[in-house]
Amino acid sequence: MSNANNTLLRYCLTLAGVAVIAAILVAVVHRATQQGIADQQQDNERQALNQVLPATLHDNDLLTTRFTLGPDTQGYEQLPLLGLSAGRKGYIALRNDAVSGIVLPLEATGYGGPIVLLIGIAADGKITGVRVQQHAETPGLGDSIDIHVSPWITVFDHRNLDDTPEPLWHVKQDGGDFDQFTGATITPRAVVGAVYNALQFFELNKDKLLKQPANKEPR
Amino acid sequence: MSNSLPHDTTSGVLWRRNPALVQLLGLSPLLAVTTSVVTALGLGLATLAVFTAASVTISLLHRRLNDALRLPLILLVNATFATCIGLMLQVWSLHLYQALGLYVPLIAANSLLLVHVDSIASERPLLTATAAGLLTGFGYLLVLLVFGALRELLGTGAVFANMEQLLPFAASWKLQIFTAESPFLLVLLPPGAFLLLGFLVALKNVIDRQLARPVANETSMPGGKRVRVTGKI
Repeated sequence: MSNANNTLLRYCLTLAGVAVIAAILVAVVHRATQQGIADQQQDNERQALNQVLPATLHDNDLLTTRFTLGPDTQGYEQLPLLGLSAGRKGYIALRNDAVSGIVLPLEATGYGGPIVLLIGIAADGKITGVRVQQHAETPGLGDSIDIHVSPWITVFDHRNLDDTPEPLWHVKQDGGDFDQFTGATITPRAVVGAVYNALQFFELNKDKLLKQPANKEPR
Repeated sequence: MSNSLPHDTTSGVLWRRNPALVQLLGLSPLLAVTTSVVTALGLGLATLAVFTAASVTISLLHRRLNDALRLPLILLVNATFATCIGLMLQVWSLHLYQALGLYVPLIAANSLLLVHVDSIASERPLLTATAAGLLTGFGYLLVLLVFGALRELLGTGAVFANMEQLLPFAASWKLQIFTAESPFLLVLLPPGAFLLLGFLVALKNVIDRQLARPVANETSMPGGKRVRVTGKI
């Protein structure tokens, strides 16, 4: 009886010993890589922002003027227009201490699930850039919304609600102004709709969005 | 278990018992992420690293292994190294880590890794176990690479796109072999990967048969008759 107990104890000790060593190893690696991963994430964030909002438009570090937008955020008109399913970051561009533009997070519902997008809008309501950050669209068909695959997404650059009125904010098949892809209409239709909604959201909340720099987020 | 592995030679591990093509193990990541060379190479190297580290560790622990502890210990060791490699990969290239997604942590549960570590590493001395871990991981990496290159080539007409995600100096490695009006989509989707796997296994069997032919010719005659293959002759 005591023999069996001894064996059991030995097993437990071996397992516990290995588990402790494993935990220490993971902890050490985590500590060693923490800073590097944070740097990489910031780099990625800056690169993504740079693509939707040209560096000439702002003289501040966009990461210091972040604010959170989520499905439950209060104080905005028609927040569902952005289609957000989780809290994401928006960014305020400043030039000479005045708001010169804004980057908004938005989501579209594509063929393969949500399409996660960022849109940059200058203070005068013109789009400065749209980029897809995450999507699960069919490779070779719907993935042309990705800048790495096709330049299609740049069709939105410089447009605003005045030079492109509502009837044109559709893919060509629906009588609009934007190309669809061969074999894939659902994806570009979703993106065009989401971008139009984001512009509407900007228009509705212009006053609030353009004087937001007060609530800076500590870095 | 070791008697199932009679010839532990390099060619044996890389070809005759190739983990993916012959043992058909570890297929889920193989089919899921090998849509380009860069993702295949990334996952292959990560798997190779976990393989080697786990083989060494389990070999060092082998005196403490027994039927009760085997599986929990191996899983624990695998998961530890998979986590560490995942963290390091994030520092090296966050883009690549995101492209590989769930399949980096899933290395811990790679069936090939479990079988390999259990059968080889736990019963061999340190050096042999290390070599076997390296070789098995390398054989897996090779198949991943062939898959990635074939699928990227057939699906997009180019190879080595976005290599800078893994190797910072490889930004201009992209080779556009051909441009197609509509790319061969099927190969980029999972069903196409299964078909491709079937073709590769068939190709390997054909090559094996060709290699074995000189021997076979002596015993079989052209237009040979039915031969009794069971019982005593």
